[in-house]
Order: sequence, then structure tokens, then C-alpha cells
Amino acid sequence: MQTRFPTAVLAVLFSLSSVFAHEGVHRSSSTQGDQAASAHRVSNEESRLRLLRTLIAHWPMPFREELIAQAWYEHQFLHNDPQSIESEKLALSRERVLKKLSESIPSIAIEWNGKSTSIQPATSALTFCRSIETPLLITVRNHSRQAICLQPVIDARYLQSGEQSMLDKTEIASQSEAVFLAAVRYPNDAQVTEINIEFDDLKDSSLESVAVPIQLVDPGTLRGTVTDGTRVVPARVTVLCSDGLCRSDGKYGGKSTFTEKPIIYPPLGGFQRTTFFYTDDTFELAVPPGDTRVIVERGFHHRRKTVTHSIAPGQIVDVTLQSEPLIDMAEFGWVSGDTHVHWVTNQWNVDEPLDLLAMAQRAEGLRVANNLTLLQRYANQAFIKPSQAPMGPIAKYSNSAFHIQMGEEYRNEDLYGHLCFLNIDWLVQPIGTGAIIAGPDALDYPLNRTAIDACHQQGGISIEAHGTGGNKDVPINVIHNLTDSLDQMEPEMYYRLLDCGFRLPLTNGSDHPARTLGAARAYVKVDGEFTYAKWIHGIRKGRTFTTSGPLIFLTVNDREIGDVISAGGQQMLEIHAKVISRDPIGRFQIISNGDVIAEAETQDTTAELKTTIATEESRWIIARCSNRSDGRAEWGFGDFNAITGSGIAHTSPVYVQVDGRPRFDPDAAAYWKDRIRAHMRDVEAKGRFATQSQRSEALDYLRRGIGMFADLESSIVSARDRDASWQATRDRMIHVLRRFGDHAEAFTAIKQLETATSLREVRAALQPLVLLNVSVNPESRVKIGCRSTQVSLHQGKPERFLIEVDNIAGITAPLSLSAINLASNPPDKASWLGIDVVESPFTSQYFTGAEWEYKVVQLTPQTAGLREVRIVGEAGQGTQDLGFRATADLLLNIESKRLKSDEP
Amino acid sequence: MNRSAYASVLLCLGILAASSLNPSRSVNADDVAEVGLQVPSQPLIAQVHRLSEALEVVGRPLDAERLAEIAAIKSLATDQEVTDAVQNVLDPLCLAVVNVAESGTPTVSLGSADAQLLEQGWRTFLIKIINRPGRTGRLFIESPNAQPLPHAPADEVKSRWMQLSAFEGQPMRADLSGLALEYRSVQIYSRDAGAKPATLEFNVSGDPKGDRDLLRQWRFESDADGWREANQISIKNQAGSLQVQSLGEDPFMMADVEARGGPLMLRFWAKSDVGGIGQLFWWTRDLPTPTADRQTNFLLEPNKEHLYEIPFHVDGELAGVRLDPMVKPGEMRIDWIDLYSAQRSQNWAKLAIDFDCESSTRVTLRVIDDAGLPAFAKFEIRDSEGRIYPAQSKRLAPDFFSVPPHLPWGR
Repeated sequence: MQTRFPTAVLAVLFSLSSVFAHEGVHRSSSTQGDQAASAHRVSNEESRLRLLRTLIAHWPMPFREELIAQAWYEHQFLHNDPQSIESEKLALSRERVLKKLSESIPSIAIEWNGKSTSIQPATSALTFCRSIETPLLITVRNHSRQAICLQPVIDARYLQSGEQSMLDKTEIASQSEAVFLAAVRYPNDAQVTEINIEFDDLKDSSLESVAVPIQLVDPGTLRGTVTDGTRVVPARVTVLCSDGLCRSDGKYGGKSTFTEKPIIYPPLGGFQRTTFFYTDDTFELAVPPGDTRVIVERGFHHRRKTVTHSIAPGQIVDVTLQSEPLIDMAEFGWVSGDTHVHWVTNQWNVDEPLDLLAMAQRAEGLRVANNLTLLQRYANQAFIKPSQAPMGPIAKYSNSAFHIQMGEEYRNEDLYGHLCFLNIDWLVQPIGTGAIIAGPDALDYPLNRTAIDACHQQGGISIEAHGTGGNKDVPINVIHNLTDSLDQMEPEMYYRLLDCGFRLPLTNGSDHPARTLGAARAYVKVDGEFTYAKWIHGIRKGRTFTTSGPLIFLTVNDREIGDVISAGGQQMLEIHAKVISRDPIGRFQIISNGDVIAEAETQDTTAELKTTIATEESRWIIARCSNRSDGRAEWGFGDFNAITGSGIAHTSPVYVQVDGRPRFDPDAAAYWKDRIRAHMRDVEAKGRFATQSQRSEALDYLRRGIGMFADLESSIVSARDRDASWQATRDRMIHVLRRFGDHAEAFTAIKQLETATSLREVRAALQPLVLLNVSVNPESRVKIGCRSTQVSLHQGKPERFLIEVDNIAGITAPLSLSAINLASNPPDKASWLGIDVVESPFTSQYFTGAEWEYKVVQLTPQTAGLREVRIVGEAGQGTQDLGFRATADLLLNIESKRLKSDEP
Repeated sequence: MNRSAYASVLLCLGILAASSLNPSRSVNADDVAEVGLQVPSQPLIAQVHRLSEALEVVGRPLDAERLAEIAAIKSLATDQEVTDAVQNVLDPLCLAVVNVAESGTPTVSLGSADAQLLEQGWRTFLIKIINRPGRTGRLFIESPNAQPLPHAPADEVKSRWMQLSAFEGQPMRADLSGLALEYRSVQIYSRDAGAKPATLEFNVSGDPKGDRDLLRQWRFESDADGWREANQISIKNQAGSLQVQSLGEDPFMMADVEARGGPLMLRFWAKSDVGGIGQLFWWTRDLPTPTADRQTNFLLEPNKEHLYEIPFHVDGELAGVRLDPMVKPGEMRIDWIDLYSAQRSQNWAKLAIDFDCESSTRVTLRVIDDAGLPAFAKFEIRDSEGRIYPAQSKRLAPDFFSVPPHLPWGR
């Protein structure tokens, strides 16, 4: 959930005034008269901003984004923002926007020369359609030498919502203008030929009323359905009417949860009206006669279908629309999902029906929706919403194509950040901490890390919800292996984490109702038929990209996103990126270690980049694209953060390792150390804790994070050094065990390691965590033994164990383990068990060559019950058959995740 | 190859011809199938797969028809179907059915396999284990008829006609898995032909109410588990076993162990790359050094996986044991070592079985020299698994169990 901005006041009639000439220097006037003028200007600037807000909130039109940008510029100027653009540029920009507005929607200009008024355009009558609410833009230009102060008055019978009384009194300086906005609606039987605009002339300048000739016409009717060729399907529909406005049908078009969205980027506050509406049946709406454009969308992987019909007054036009697939993402295993949905109204405290979520999900082509329960507190109430179902899958809305899963957003607003917990069975309590979320008396305790441990204990994944801006804990969580993925991530911050050798995927979520469902989403690659468990597993494997429109693909030497390539420094890397989109692609780049290594700029909707580079050093490689050129970069949000708007895509990396070492940039580690130190000062100063031990726990966690970043470089070396001293191994293994999560035996071992004074004591401390013994004989053959014949695991939960290695051969190859299911015919890979030798800055898959060392293995069972698996090891020496000595049979007692839940 | 060698090969073929795993052809397996038993299919199938691998290792593979049936089981949908089908396939091969109790003595009944043995040969059977309590101890199978002949009382020589070997090496496991249904293999050797009554005894260790038989287990998952190098020996934990390297002619290793005295049994599963005699020494709390009068010998089975069972009697309280695994440089891998009381607890279930031992084929060997005249020769007769015939444990003087057998001249 985003921090909520105050709701905009939806005024129907506001005014905007400006001067023809440059306003010059403002707000720095020193004389009394100048001060009065300055106050007046401020008032005019506020009026301009309010008018723009009203247009954005009330009148959906295709160039809404430009209106938002202009409103932001006005806002910055008004609030003396150091980043605000110069007044000349602002005036030019304003003029451009107003011109576009006046050309788009019904507009008149009234010229006052001090003696008489005239109307522009004088030649033709304005057309209004009976029964349809329509905006009227009224510009009053004061060409006289005197300032005028006035308030337009329109016949109350036709002014909507009786808001005539809300006409702003506006002073228009000499050689200046003001813009007013009225919403008019003529009834079906109206027979009117002009619209009278009177002026409440407050300065008694004898401003005459004007009669604007109008023509009233009857509406036509647009009736339509969207099909996939065989049946009616849910979709987004945009109807752009002949008067420049987008209009909606009544079924979902009147539902504010769908039609009103807060303006977040830029942080202007207030709401915007969406241009589209959802339909899942036949839609029908009255439209002004004339050319009416209908645009159908069904998610990012369907082409937009656009048709234009000329509709005559009284005519009923039936349309059947079908949008063609852009690409079959499912065929390639890519499954879209929104990690962050709160299926509630815009007020957040009322659940929306899940039927509507299922409908919108299908309309958006969004296969997975994670509906997250949160705790929220307003001044006079606290609530836990959404609450349509307990945690877990909702069977009624889940099948092989679509899936709705209840999850949790665990939040601490003040210090730590927001977390999306997916794939959990039970709500992690207390759901929220800190004064803003849990109430004025609430503590910043328990720590978010405690909640993440509880999430992981359930087999869930924890996603940092809002990049590093709100989520101050990100670097500490990452280095403790408590972050499974990153949402809404700022690319530059992301690259700094990758530069520390971490393997982190990107995902994304809309934070609905803050944004339209699926506005930014993740695509996750799954093996075989879709299941939610596989989708979660795909995130864990890093097989993701995030997008607000374009569909982006990346391979390096034919390896996929999330893969790790072991390469020599001279090895060539063939990098291939592709993007396909409904919209022009814009900038398309391949980035490695922060450098652009290939780039293209195109207005096409498909693009491909191919480049070949020498490996040279350990790398991460990503692809990204953006068609944003709306100034978001200037607003500080970058052009490549998909959450900031449509048209952006960013892959997770393909990793390349030279000599078994991850990418490491000491500057990045230093940066995060500094960030954590600053965060620590915040926690010390602002943190609310009940006891000193709670405070110590919070600070110790941060202190350990700083220490781990400080030790990062030496750990990377130690984990790959055959001659590492036992002291270095001890220190590194402490960090390794800290990354085991909430693990009682690991905690015990850490305590023992912290006081260990000999290699023997180190080994004794680590012994209880050893699951497998691996020996490499002089012929480099790998033999495996299990420390115990049975081990208890939890379905969907990765569990880490140590591997004790006895490397007589002194090889330096990577160790790989595979799990064989003897019960398949013939015995084959156990698809229900993930088995990975962990590669991280603190531990390597590669043998160091030392005779004795430890590796880390992670087991992730996907299926519950008693299962037996045969573990086979290989160390790059081929697969010589050593018989049963090379394998270890292990009985897994896998505790089930909770049974599927149904909507109550 | 000389003529003597030809004779040896022919003899082996003659002995082994009929020694495959044969199911019952007359007893209905449904009689022993456990009604209402439902076991998770995946680990059950995996276990059956391992069992079939183990039978291959011991040289008694399941027949093609049965392997095809097992392959078909892998495609069955439900736990119940798999459980039923596994019992249908394997129950006919079972000599006995052991029903494990929550605590105490298991119950045991006859299986549906024909109790048919082969004179001077080995037969392989399965043992079915119904383990509803999910115990994960060790299943022991012993028999008074399988006691060694050397030093046997004269009146027991006739009854000690059998040799028993339960296969517990990889890919099988020493301990029960805890699954409600499990199968083990046991091999039985008969010294004699004809009708032979025998008693099989069964016990499961790890009794939750106390295990009086098992005194000490040594496992080598992480280290040598208390064994230490003492002389001309190097020992090292490796891949879950103890790797022993003899560096001379008198290697030995020692371990402290506290246990009550009396008749004891040291059992271990090992593979040695050299033959010869091994020795077990022990010492007691009151006399804490191994002495020459407190030792016993055992025969090494070179180049094969073997269950060594060494009975010994301790006067006083046992304080330690010394194992002299070899008498020359070589290597041995020991998977596990257990120390038991040979004084039986009450937890042993007995099953009387009347075996029918088929006569072996008599093969005549004539040894002649280059001149065509009768000559002396030394014969060592082994089957494809390396087993020596006649079984050394079932021979009396002038053949000594510690000496490879010599067939009489001319025959």
C-alpha cells in the first residue's frame, strides 16, 4: 500500500488564469504593492492547479498524462520547489496544454476590451449532445487596461450538480486571461440554441453577458461485446467520443474502484479518472454523434484492437470486437502475475467482491493475482482488509489458467518498510507495526525480519514492496538472505545490490487500488503446466521480468534469465535481447555491470539487440526498455522503473561467473554500509521500543548487516580459497549460517562458532547442520553419504543444510547435486524436489581444492508426504558409474501446506 | 588355463544352476496380504526399486515378469492401488511376515513362498514387514540353526545346518524406513539335503520402552564415532563409512564402550580388499587392556560386501574393544558396527519352518598331471558372488573354517 494522498475535491467549475505576457519574477517582490500582486498571483496559480486537477479527476481524455505533467509543474512552481521549471518554460508549457485542451473539448473564448465582449470562435455554434454531460472550457481574456474581477454564471438548469455557486471569483489582470470550466448537461427534450454566460462583475466594469450559439443533437448508442473468436470475454474498453472525451458504460464504468486512481508519479496527490472501463458482457453507452473510436485491450500480450464508427444521432451501432494475441506467452512458459493487490475500494476499508477481481484479472490478461491483507489505521478507525478469504489459494477462482491467492502485506511505515508475503498459510502477526499503521501507541516491534522469518517458516516468499525508497531494510534483509524478490525497484539501486554479488529477481505489483490491477506486473517462467507453486518457484529461481507493457526476453549464450554461466575471462558471451510491445518501444538497452553494452532507439513495436562481448570479469546482464519521455526521469523516478508508468520493461539478470566468483564492486558495498548506518541512526532516534532488549535487537540486526557488508569482500575470497585459515572459515561460516533464516540449530552453531578457538571446535559446531557428506576420491569421483536416512521438511519451504566435503583429489570443479525419483519409470529427475548447491558471496558451488570444506545445499520440496529421493553428485568429471556408493537415498517427511481454502 | 581350472568352472555352474529367487507356485499370496494397509506410494515404490537393485547386487534378480509388474505399479494412481499391487507382486516371494509392534515382540507368521532350499547352495527370500507403528529400528533375523559349527556342542552339529544372511548394504538400509510396509531380503544356505526343520527368530531394535539387546551402535556419517587408530592403521570417515587402511601386518583400532558382560555379538558390514583372519580383542573395567586370552578370530571375505558376526563372551563389565581387521596391508570399508547382547531379550519372535532342501548336483573332478597320472591339487570353489563352497562355517575338521577348502584327492 502506498502512502495515501488526500482525495482531490471534485469541483465541477474552477478557473485558471494567466497573463498573456511573461509573469516575470514573482514571489520576491519587496514593495507593498508587489506583495499584494504576489498574493494575487499565488491565488491564480492555485486556481490553475485546481482546474487541471479537476480535468484530470473528472474528464478522461487521451492526453491526460500531459495534464498531469502540467499540473505537476504548476504544483512545483506554486510550492517553490527547487526542482520547478523556469516560469518562461512553465508559461509556454501551459499555453501548449491549454491550446490542446481547447482544440479537444468544447471551448469558447470571451474577449473583453474594456468596452465590449466578443466571442471566439465567432463563426460556428458549439455542439452539445442531449443527455450527455459535457465540459465547457471558457477562457476570458482581459485586453483592457484595468483588472477585472468576475464570476461566470450559467443557467442552473443545465449546469451539472448545481455547482454554479462554486464559480470561482477570479481577478483577471490587465492583458491576462482566466480559464473556467463548466459541466453542462441538456435534458432529452431540451430545445436551446444558445448558452448564456453572465458575469457577476465584482469590480463593476460593466462586463456584458454573452450568448454563445449552440447546437443540440441527440446521442447515438454504441453497443458492443468483446470476444476471443468463440465467446464473450472480459476486456478493457476505451470509447473516445467525437467531443474528445472518453466515456464509459454503466455496469463497471460507474465503479470508482475501477475508474478513479490516485496520482502517484509524480506525487501530485488527488485522483485521476481512467479513460477505459471493464466489460465482461455487452456494453452499451450513449455517445455524442460523430466519429467514435473504440479501443479494446486484453492485457500486455494482446494487440490493441481499434475501430472507428461514425454514429448518427439516434443510431444504435452494434460492434463485436476481437483482439488478437501479440504473443503466446504461455507457450514459452511465461506467466503474468501481480504480486501486490488489495482488492478493496479506493477508501481501502471496504472489500470488493472477488468476482470482480476475477473479471478484471481476465480483462487485464493477468493470470496470478495476489490479494494481500493489511492492517491500516485512519484517524478514527483501524481495519484489516481485504478480508474476503483466509490466506492461501481461493479454489473458486483458481484453475490452470488463472489463480487468486490471498497473501499479506506486512508493514512498518515509520522505519523498516512494506513486505509482500506470498504463498503463506497464515497471516503473520501483528500485520503492521509502528505508530502510523498500528496506532499512536504502537511499537516498531517486532522487527520486520521476525515477520519475514515467520513467512519463510510457512514456505512463503517475502518481496520488498516499494524499492529502497520506503523499504529502508532492503540491504540488511538482502544480506541476511531474507529478500526473495524486489518490487517497484529503482534500477540504479538494484544494480548496486547486484554489484555486491547477490542474486535477486525483480517482480512487480500494482498496489491496487493505488493503481489499476496489473499496471506493473511480473512475468515468471514456469516449467510445464502452470501451478502457483511453480510460479513461486520461478521467482525463487530468478526467472522473471517486470513490465508495464513491453514483453522482454534475454538470453546469454542461450542461457535464460536467472541462470548462472561459468565462464573463463576470454570466453565470448553472445547476448540476445528481444522485446515486443503494443506500443512503440523507445529506448532498448542491454546493461552489464552498470554499463550500456548495446542500445537501440526505435518507434517500432518489436526490436532485437544482439551483441557479443568477452566475459573479462564476473557479470550480471539485464535488458530493459522504456518509451517514457514524459519527464519522469527529471522527477527523480528514472525512466526504467516499471511502476512509474506504462511502456517500461526490465529483466532480472543472467549471471556470469569467472573463476567461481560473483560480481563484486567495493563501492557498492560501501554505499550500502552507509545507507544502513543512516538507517541505524533513524532507528536509534525514532524507533519506539518497549524495552532495551527490543531496541538492542533492532540495532544488532542493523549492526550485523553492516558487519556482513564489511566482510563481504573477504568472505567472497575465503569461500573460494583453498588455503583459507580456519579462523577465516569460522568467520565466514557465521555469515553463512545467518543466511539460514530462523533455524534453531544454526543459532546454536553461530554461538559456538563465535567462541570457537580451534578447527576442531569449528567442525563440532557445524556438525549438527551437516546433511550430506561428499567425498571426492583421487580419481575425482564424487561419493555421497547422508548423515541421516530421514529428514523433515515443509512443502514449498527451502531448507538449508551443510555439506561436508572431503576432497582428496583437490579438484576445483563445481559441485552439482541432482535428485532422482526412483518411483518413476524409469527413474528420473525428481521434479518435486528442488536441490541446489547454494552460490552466494559467502559460499560457492566450486570446490576450493582444500581437502576439507563446507558447502550449502538447499532443498525445496513442492509435494507433501513421505517421499524418497536418491541424491546424486557430480563435480564436472563426467558421470562414471560408481554404483550405490555415489548416491544417497534419503527419506523426506514433508509437512503439507495448509489445505486449499475456499471463499467463505 | 589348465585342466584343474576347467573342472572348477564346471562345478560352479552345476551348483548355481537352480539358485534364483523363486516364488511360491502353490500358496495363495492373498493369504498374507495385509488388509486395509495403505502406504504412501512414492516412497513405497522407491523402496521396491531399491529392493530390486539389491537383489541384483546379491545376484538373485527378480524375473522379467515381476520387473515388468513393478514397472507397471509406477503408473498406478492411488496409494491404495500401489500398496495392493506391491503386495501382489512381492508377497509370493516372502518367507515370513513380521508384524512390528508398538513395543516389544513382533508377531511373525509364515509367508507364502515355498520353503525350498538347495543343498550346498543359497536361496534368496523376501521378508515382509508390516510396521504400522512406524518404528525405525533394525530388523534382526537369526536362527539357532545358523549358529557356527566350530566349537559347537556335539549334539548341535546336526541341527546347525543353515547359514543366514540378511542383505543390509547399499542400496538397502540397515534400519527400517518407518513405512508401514517394507520388504527385506534374506539368503539361506543349507548344508544338507532333505527335510530340514528350522526356527527363524526376529526382533526389531529401537524399542521405545528400552532396547535391551543393542548395546552400542557405531555410525560413520560424520566421523569415526569413537574408534581410534592404535597400530599400523589409518581410519577415516568417508561418505558415511569408515575407511580403514592397514599399513602393516598387525593393524588394529580401538574403541571404548561400556556395557554389561556376558555373551555378546559384534556385527559389522564391511568390504575388505584382502582376505585372511581378523581378530577381535576386548577389555574390561577391572582389567583395562586387551589380553591374548580375551580375543576371538573371524574370517575375512575378500572383495565382497559381507555381514560379519563375531560372538564373544565377556567376564566382567566391558570397557572397550579392539578390532584387528586385517593381517596385511590392504583396505577395508566398514559401513556400520553394532554391539549386541547375545543373551536374548524376550523380544524375539520365533517362527518354525520346515524347509525342503533339494539335493545338489554331484560333480566328480579328476585331477591328472601332464603325464596323465593322478595328481594332488588345491581347489577353491566360489560362486559368482564370491561365496566359497562348501560354506566354511558349516565344515568340521579336517576342514577348518579358517582355511580354504581342499577337496579329497581324486574327487
